[in-house]
Amino acid sequence: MTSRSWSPAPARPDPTRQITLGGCASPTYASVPTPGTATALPLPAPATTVLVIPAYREEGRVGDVVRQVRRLGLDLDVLVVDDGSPDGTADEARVAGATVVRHPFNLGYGSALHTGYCHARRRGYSRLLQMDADGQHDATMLERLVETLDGGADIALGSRYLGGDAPRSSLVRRVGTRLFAKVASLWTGVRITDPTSGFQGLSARAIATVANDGFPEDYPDTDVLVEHARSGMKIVEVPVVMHERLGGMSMHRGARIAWYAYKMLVTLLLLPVRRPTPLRRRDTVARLP
Amino acid sequence: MSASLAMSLLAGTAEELQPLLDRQRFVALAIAIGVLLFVLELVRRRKLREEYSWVWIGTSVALIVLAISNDLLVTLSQWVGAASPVSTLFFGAFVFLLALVLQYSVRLSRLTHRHRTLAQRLALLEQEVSELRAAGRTRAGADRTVENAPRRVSDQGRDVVA
Repeated sequence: MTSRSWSPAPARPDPTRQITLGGCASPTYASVPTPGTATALPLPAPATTVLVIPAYREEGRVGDVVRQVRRLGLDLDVLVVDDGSPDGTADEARVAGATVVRHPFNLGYGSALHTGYCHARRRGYSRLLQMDADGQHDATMLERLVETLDGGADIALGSRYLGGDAPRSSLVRRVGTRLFAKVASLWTGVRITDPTSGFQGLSARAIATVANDGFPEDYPDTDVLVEHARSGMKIVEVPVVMHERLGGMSMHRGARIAWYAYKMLVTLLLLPVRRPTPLRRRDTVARLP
Repeated sequence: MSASLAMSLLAGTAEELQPLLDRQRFVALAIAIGVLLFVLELVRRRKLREEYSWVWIGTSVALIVLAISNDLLVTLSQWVGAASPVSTLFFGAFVFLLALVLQYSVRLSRLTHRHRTLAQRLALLEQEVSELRAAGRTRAGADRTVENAPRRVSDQGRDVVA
């Protein structure tokens, strides 16, 4: 099977070549990545793009998602971040052909994403795509995200509401989404219809911004978008198709909705005056040894 | 007029405040000494770090001082406007616990942040190690074939012969 490459993307480098990994995340919150200086690991050179799939208890689904992506023949590396699942999520992803990073215990969806961002930073990927492991996101939409990034966007945000064919959701969920979409649109100055979307593409600049120890461990959506806009990232929404989840559990259910609302309120209220991380060091995860 | 108000505030209502009864004093002392000894024992058994022990030791010492010196407790009660020295002790205990619990929440947040970043770093390094190991195995396997390591030796041998 011939590997289909996105038009402006450079050809895949020689896999036997030694690569220099990207430099440490710089101490300032938003800055352009600097080329690596010291460490070169004798690992095969990565594709220029990495697809990050955070997964928790997705046995029976994550394998299909990985295979669907690989069947498309895109020039990208697939990374599944297993957030400490007690089931066979990690093995299933590995068998399906993904690189797997496994948290020793459950750290939360945001942390799994953050681990993926730091992986991309450590390996020096120039583009990052992210999608969910439960089959909600349609893999054929990945190309749209890449095209948007190639068009100069730093964040390509896949929106299920732009296309008009959104899957059904509860009333609380719809009202909440509308509210936070309004907040995100007002604050970022860009029309945002789906701030909770986990179907995104990030440029190298954007990866450098989020590979920061202060990245929220759960529900990284409206606050992260606002943070991106504040550090000068260009956000572009892209219409995508989303399906009903194949199974598993939504993060937005029961008492967690109240927790989500509270967390977003406090985070957004304090956002302009808040320190980025509790400790002075901001690159504990992204820093190379 | 304000001066007389200040005077009356400072003087308080000393006449109304009864010092601690001997029984109250004894109970307070017994508890304070008990806590002090227990905390020291915990530190001795390394179940409590010195870092966390000083707050408890400080409190029990303060309680002992207050129980012994009646004047101090009565003066304190006047300052905070307590109805009786006993409620001053309760009030102090409440404020102390509040501060302690808040401080623990702060420490917990910091520890959560640290253990989260450590776990993430560990996960990434683990993946990199396994990738490097796999790469090393492939290279070792390649070395053992006729193409590499043995050939070099025979080449040298041939050079010597030539």
